[in-house]
Amino acid sequence: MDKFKGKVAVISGAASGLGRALAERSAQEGMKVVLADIDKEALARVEKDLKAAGAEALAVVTDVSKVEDVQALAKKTLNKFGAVHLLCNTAAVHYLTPLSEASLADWKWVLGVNLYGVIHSVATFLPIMFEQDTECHIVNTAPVLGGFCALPFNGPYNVSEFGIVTLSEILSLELSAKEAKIGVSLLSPEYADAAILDSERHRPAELRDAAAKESVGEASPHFEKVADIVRAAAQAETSAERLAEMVFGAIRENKFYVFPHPSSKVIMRERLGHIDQETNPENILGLMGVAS
Amino acid sequence: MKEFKGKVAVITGSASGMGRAVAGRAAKEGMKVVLADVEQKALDRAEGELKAEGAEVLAVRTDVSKAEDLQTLAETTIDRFGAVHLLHNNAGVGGGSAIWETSLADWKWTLNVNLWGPIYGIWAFLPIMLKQDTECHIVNTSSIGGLMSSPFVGGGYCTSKHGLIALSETLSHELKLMGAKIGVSVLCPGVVNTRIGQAARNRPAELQNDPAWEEKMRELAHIKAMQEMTAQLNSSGMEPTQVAELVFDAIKEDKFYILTHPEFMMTAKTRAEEILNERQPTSMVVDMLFGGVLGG
Repeated sequence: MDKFKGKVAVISGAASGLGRALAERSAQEGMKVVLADIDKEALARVEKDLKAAGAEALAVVTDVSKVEDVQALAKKTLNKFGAVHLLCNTAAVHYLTPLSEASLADWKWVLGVNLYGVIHSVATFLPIMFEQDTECHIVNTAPVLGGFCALPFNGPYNVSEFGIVTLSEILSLELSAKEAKIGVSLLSPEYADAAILDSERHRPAELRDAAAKESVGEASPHFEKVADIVRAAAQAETSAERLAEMVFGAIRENKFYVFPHPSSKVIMRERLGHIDQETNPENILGLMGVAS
Repeated sequence: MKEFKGKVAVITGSASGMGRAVAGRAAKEGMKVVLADVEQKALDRAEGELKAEGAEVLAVRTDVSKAEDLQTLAETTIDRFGAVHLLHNNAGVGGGSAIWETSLADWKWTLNVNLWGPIYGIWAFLPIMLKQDTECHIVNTSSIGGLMSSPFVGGGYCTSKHGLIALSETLSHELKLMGAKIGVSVLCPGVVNTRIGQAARNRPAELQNDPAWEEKMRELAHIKAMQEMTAQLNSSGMEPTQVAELVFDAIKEDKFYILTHPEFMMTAKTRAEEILNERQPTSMVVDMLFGGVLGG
């Protein structure tokens, strides 16, 4: 897809961070923008700002972990704009926990939003795009530390992001085998978007743990270290505007992989080498800065 | 973990296929064996066979897609044998074709068994192992499909298997950092002579596809071709007992990745190169099955 003017973009997680930047960029390209997010107030602010800048925008409060919400989002998009051309699955949450202390609620919440969110979205919008038979593009996001390398104490997030990576690769392979007019890109910054590090406030009440967790084993000074690494990296993260610019470049060129941080490939190369050589991936911890 | 005699092994999906072979091998090593499977008849049969060979066996009907079943499995294991040393999260299924030919019910069923099963297994057993503070090992059965992206095998299959690689790597890293005595391996079989192709026999009623959808999918030529190819590959695949041998070697050596078919790793290597060089993903499967082009 290399023409955007007048086309329709649907962006989940559009109320903050990368999602918001993608929404603004879509508007600048002259697209009609459908903003989806669970955060009603923040979503209304983005909608107002975009409209003030002259964009056509529609805000739909959406919990992507619920398939009915995603189906309603599609329906409202078609009712208002009659089509969808760009789908950006940006909604995500982040939660650090040792696997030995992860509750089922933690798992349900993180996988529900991050992984099932993308599954629901693809299952809902893909048939609409097929029916339309126009040039379309789908953008998924999974960071290198999460989607290609397993940062410790990041279990549920890693599982969701590894899943998104392969789902995206398979989607790209299958759509090109079908010679469909739908392109796919995968944006993989080094770390999770800073905007989702405080996503705990969006966790639904039914998935909060009632009791304080029992700490088992030596949950270790390493946990704090990982938390510091993630926070520091997210703050130093390339601006969301620049990531959005790279995403639009990739859509134009129909480029699948988007790695804004070439240095993150050092860890990826090491991990992929371990698989190839069947050696244990211990030294990855050193490369990730978690252990020496 | 180097010594097995008298220790306790819990294996899910152990009524048939690789799980059954690993259970047989565990019994030969002198372990007490807890068999867990959703298929009652096959479970009874496996229990009878192992007992006849003189093993101490406990069979617990377990649907790994239910957290409470894994909790019961852990409790029953501890009640009976007082400890657990080896956990093999092995139960697995497959279903669907292209992502647009994978229904939400297909997604749910595959992820419930393949991904949530091991999540529940670790949730139920890891705290027990950590408290025990003895040498333990956890094996997760992923797939060679967890190391490469295979199209037309059902979106949920590769997604769950890649998720299991992530889960296993994370677990291995964390246990090392915590100084725990628990080793981790991830089993990545290529083609093995098992009944995974007939896994639908155990699909729950509430996750059945709409019959019209099912009929439509059955008629698609590329789905037929893929199923035939998979069935043929599996039937001439490696014997499960050979896989069990590799699993026990890996446990002894604390080896993380267990690859049964290194010769298939070219595809994983190609994927690695595509990632690192930011090239478009390619797949041999597409070329083999469809000559590159698929009908509507």
